[in-house]
Amino acid sequence: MIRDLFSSTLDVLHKTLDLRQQRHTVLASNIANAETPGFIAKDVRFEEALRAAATPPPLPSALPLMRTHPEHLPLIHPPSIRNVQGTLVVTPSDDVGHDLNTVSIDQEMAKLTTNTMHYNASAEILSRAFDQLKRTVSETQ
Amino acid sequence: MDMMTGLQVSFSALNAQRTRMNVIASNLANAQSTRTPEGGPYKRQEVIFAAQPQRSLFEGMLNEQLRDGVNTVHVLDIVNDRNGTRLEYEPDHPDANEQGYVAYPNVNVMREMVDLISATRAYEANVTAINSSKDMALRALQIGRV
Repeated sequence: MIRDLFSSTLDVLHKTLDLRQQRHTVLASNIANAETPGFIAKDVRFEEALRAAATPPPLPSALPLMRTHPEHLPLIHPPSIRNVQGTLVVTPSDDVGHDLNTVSIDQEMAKLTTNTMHYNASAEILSRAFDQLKRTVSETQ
Repeated sequence: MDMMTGLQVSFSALNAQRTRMNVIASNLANAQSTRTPEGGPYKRQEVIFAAQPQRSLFEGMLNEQLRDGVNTVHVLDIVNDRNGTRLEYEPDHPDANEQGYVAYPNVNVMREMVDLISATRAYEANVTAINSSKDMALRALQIGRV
């Protein structure tokens, strides 16, 4: 029961905040180097990896193996949300100036704003999740 | 990657853009200066920006790959414009040569103004990034508060 209470929601939100923050740093670096000759804009991609880790794997239907002892290793290691890492990708750019800088400042600002909003939304949901937990544990009062 | 890394990156850009603005202001101010301590007319100056990988306090915790994506910017050098001077025929000018031409700095006021606007916008973009970092940090601090 207690595992249901502290469900993977908290893990996912925690990881989301982490990854969004990493992405924020990379986007801030792009904006900082918007005028640096030869700078190549980069981005962090993690949504697919996070979704894959958050989706429970399909249960094996044929020959279901049982764990008859708590010391047995689990049959399928659930993909750990905690180990999800973002990958650094080069932002595709079609307008490379004379200085070979690929930063598109408006695009980066849009990304930064969206990322911040997503971060704040996740933080808000995390707050509410904790709020919910608090209400649950203080029900008897 | 902590929140401070993002702030440091943006601060480095503010510094760099401010230096650029100072250089532009110097170019504009000296657009007509025909004498300098080194002799000859003022020479237009230009800043060179360079990206520098940001090293965090928490090296070990960082994703190796992501580290390459974070670069601060710094002013590598301030160099003289390679273009020479602009000659104008003013025989009465004290700095006129034998032919009556005065060597003026090769400062194009229009170009400097465009550069100035560009520097201002870049500065503002980084201020926005700093505000975003700040908002995110504050929001994170409020998570525990119910």
